[in-house]
Amino acid sequence: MNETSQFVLFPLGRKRFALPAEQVTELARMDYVHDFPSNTRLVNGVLLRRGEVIPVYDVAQVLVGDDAPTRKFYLIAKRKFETVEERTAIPVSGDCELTSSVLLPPTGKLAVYVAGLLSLEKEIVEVIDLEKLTSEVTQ
Amino acid sequence: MRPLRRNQRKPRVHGHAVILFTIGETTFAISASAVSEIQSLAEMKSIPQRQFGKVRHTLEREGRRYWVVDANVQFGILPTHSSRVLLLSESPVAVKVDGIERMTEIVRMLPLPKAFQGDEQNWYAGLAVIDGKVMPVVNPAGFLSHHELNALEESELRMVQTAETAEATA
Repeated sequence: MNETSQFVLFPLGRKRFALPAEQVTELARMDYVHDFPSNTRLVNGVLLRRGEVIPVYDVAQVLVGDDAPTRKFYLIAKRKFETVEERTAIPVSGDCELTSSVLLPPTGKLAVYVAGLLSLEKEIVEVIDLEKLTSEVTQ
Repeated sequence: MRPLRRNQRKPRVHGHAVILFTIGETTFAISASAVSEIQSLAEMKSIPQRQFGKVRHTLEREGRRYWVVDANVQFGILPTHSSRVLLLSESPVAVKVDGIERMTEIVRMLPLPKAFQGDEQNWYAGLAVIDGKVMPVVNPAGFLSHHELNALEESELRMVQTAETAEATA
């Protein structure tokens, strides 16, 4: 059965990716990143937003490699750690868009963190599974 | 009607005293109760056999020997100009840092976000917001594990025994 779901499309340079809309809580302007030593890959520091500490998770390095463009906004999304849910700021390079589409199953050659594909009017967009992306980079 | 008391103050929120110290451009906090003394580097002695890269010196204080952890190595910060050593109160561990910024109080400590999955989970007890800046509050037990401390003690014991044997045979 082809059920339509909502997704948030976010750009990283010329390419767009998507997250399930229920995972996204906010789109925020660039803000000061408080950084301190850590050795978790892709976590660049934290944002302080209304008293909440939000880790910055820069997925561009994995999704578009060294060509990662200048990031202009943060897409703030929920991540689940066992029983705990936490918000994460994902730097993105431009405006985000809400769309409704059918999630198509990923094909064999895609990265393991691609949860599925969205076939939009002019593009095919990869839907990212943040948990799988994290375990992929920590391996 | 009772007159308003001019000196009536808001109840004071009691915080937790912390010492702010710096390594390079990063400011860290440590619970003041975890530090027994702050020293200069003058009394540090080099360790001839280095078991761990982060421990290169010892320091004697009131008959007690402290293993000095180089905080730059611990936190993966490039070498900077160290000038102070924090002697920890609960273990024979001292921490070499660039300098002491000041003492202050924090009202609450925030947990380290779960997104941080590396060694920092052991390095930090949590985060504090001080003057609008997020700072890591170091975990005093995270500088040297029991296993590392035992290994250092054993290695020193072996060195003493070897020196005594050499002396006896001379």
